[in-house]
Amino acid sequence: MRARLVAVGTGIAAVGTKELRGRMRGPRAFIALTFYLALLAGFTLMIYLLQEQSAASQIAFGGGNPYVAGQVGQAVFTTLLFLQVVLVVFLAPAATTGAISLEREKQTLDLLTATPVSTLGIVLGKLASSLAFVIVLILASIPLTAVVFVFGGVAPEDIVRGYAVLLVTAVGFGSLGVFFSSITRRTQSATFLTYLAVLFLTAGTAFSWFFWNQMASQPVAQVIRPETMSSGAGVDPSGTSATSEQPALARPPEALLWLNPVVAAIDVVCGVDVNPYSFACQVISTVTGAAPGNATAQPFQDAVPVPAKPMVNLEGGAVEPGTGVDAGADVLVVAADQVPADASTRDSFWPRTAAAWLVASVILVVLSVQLVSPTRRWRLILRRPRREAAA
Amino acid sequence: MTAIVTARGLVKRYNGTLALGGLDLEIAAGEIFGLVGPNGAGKTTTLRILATLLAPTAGDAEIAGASIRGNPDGVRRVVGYMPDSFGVYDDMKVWEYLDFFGRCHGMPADRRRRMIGDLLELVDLGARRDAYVATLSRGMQQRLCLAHALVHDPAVLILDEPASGLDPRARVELRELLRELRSLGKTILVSSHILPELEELCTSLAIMDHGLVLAQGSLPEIEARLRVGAVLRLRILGDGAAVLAAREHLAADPSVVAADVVGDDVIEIGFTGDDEAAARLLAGAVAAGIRIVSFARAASDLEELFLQVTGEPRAEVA
Repeated sequence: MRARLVAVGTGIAAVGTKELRGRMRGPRAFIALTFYLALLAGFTLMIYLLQEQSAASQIAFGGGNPYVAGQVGQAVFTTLLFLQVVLVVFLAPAATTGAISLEREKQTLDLLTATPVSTLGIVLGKLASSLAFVIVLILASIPLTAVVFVFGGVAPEDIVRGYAVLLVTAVGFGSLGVFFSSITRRTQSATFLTYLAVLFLTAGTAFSWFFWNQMASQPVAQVIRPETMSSGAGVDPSGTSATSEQPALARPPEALLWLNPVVAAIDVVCGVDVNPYSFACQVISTVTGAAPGNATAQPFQDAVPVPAKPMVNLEGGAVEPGTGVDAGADVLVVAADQVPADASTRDSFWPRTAAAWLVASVILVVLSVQLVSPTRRWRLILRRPRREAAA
Repeated sequence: MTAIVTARGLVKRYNGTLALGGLDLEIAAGEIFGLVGPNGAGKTTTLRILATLLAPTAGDAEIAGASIRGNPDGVRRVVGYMPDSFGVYDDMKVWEYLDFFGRCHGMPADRRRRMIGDLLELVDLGARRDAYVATLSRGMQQRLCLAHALVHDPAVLILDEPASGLDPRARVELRELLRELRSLGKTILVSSHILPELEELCTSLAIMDHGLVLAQGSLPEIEARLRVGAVLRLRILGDGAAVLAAREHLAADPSVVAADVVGDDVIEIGFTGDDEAAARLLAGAVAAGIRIVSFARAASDLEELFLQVTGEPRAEVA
């Protein structure tokens, strides 16, 4: 066992060193890093200017509120988070789709597998070195993100949450790239398949979930014959609740969206937001089926304790769904009973994304090892003829 | 002489196509062993199986006591493998390339440093230590690839068509290098589809076709077993009549099965005798007053040998 671990470690070190030597050589890496940060900084500046303008016009029309700085901070954080999620979703697979197939194309994989280096070491070394640069990009943006502290409205924990989502996304989508790279002979097909999968995991899952949800919450039959609505369970006066006994179609499983990093980012943004009925929180509560948003009769009300909300963020992570707000938050929230729904939706989604991607990454790496290893490939299939030969 | 490589009944099927049909092989330590056969004979498949890059459908092989099935890592530690069409990491420097494979073999840094110096010296690339691999000529890359197979000082070297794509000078250098490696005590397994290339180098040969070893042994042994003669080529000084007269004389020798005039002054002889008989033939011809400019064994490549073999039933050959 220890020998195996040493072999894996040797492989990671050997392959990782080699890859990093190639990747970090020359000005390429520095140019890419500069470009990445310039892009993020440019967007941040633009969002800041937009926010400034809208705040100015609010004040000009006699509106405005004392928390406008916090709103700017939240807008900047939201922008940076989404922009980075999108960039990571595209960059992480791009960094890894060549991992194995490029070695096949250059006919160097044989040289590598003919050494005693462990296949797991090769795959992990490739993954780690490819992701190293993406992770450098992500971490290099932390000082930029720290700009939000100038404005407030975003707690340090929120930033940690955001970066946790980014890192998990990088690892997950990187593993996806390595997996397709180990299936295919050519990097071109690996790239094509990987981005097809990326498209499915982002836009595909989101669209199918919301389509399913729409069909389930309002079956065509009910829309056509209004009387079925009134003769429904009658529990919910709004009549459109997905929990009514009428619809034939069940709610779409939340798991469909677990691997979608955009939804996870929306969850993080919801945690930051002042308003539990904001778009981000509406999306999350629709997905998780928790209280606000999900077509409940609650109107959009102004009873939400706006000033206290950002403070809740500091404690909210520990809140159990349905149990209300814990002691620390209780003191700060003016009307705790009015926001339990919000508190319960907090952190309700992104940890599942993180867990799902970590599990998926492990599975993808194990499959890649099977595909790369020359003698271990599809052991189950190979065993049969061996028995024949023995018999 | 103990066998360092033994293969027993290796079978490899690719989606129903039989690439190897129960191959047996035995190679004694310290030999340069040639694997000859036309394209598609199963040479590369055999070598890849021995290098643990391919799992055989049936059968097993042992290299230095390690089974390719049971202990592939053990095999990888004693085998250096150079593939047929090899790639090189072109974004690396020459020393980094060897350093990388040293790391793959788990060598500590000081041993790697020493090994890199020694190997670059051996393959004559010491001056290109800091050059990028992509800037090397084909022959240099071939030597570098050979050096990579030697990184862990393996007892057995498996080289798949090492001379393909090399110019004559590089071939000669490669041959010298392989002889030097043999003198260092390594067993070398080389494949080629050109017989003369191996003829001068190898201590024994196996001739393969259709996934089977047709004959195995030293070249004279094989020739004797196949009962296929060599082709002798003579250049005669003189006019057409003198050449025809010479042909008549030569055809009368009992070891000569055929004698043909192929050029203005060249006679090709199908010869089944051994070296002794050849010397006698030459002495006889000279004594008979035939003016011979050159007398040499024609480079009979493998295809020719096989063409001569095809008339015989397979059972007798094998």
